[in-house]
Amino acid sequence: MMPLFQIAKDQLSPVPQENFLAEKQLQHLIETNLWPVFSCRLVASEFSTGAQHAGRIDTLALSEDGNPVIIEYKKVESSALINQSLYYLAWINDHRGDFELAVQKRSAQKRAWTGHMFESCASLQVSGSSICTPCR
Amino acid sequence: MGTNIELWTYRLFRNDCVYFEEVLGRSYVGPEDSGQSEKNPIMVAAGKKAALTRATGTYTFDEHLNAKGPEVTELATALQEFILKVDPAIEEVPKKLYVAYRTSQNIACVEIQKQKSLLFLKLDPKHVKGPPGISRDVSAVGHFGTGDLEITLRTAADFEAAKPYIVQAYQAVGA
Repeated sequence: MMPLFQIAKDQLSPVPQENFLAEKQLQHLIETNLWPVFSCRLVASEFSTGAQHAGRIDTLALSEDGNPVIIEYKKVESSALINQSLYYLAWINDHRGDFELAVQKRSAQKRAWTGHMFESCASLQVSGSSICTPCR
Repeated sequence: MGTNIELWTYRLFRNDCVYFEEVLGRSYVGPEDSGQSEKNPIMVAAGKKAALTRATGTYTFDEHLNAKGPEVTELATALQEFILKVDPAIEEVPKKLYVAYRTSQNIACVEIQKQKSLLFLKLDPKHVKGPPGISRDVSAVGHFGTGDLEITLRTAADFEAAKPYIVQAYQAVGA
């Protein structure tokens, strides 16, 4: 990709790229900006999948059309990311009640969620999963 | 149950800018194909397609044109073509009751009815009024799809009037 150029009067200078220092940094940035970036609402961060399946979904969210969204982060590209996401996807397909409870818990804290969101939750369909991974 | 998997990559710049880019298009994870059978292959194929639609929620744009008149079909097709040409990054996502157009988020939803098509744009009706006479603030009104500005399209003139607002909705999403 061509570099990004900063315009200063008539001079263009390339803007250097960098990486986040930690996955957590990327996660925090996305979680606090879920709506502007992906039109999603945060349901839970570090959502535990229980003792049996022992795992943590980095970010669990609700899409604008009322579907669950799983977001996994990696600082560097890796195929483990996809495998991990598929695993959580299968888990959530099998544990819809847990997702609904998490949404209810969250919406009890944040009244800003409208009745419209609750309706979509009731007719829950699992069809969303976005993944974030940086480039090399 | 159908599932979307998206892979996004970030580019972080020193001047406090971050850019997100989809590197792997929406890939669809469908149910597994069941084994062979000795039934009529055409019926089996038809049954499978129906079962797939029910099970996975995969719909097509053409299904929304079923049993619609020529005017509605023509307008809806022109609308589809226009929206998809606004930017190659815009994807069409047909749902059961409406068709969504999106990049990282929904930009517009179209509900094709017998007599007219309803266009729901992701614009704030408090600031953007839309073409007069055919626009409505539906932020507090139940409707299919997402988007708070509703524009009712019955004629080619309505469609012409709606065009700049479609572009504006795309630019507002900032993708």
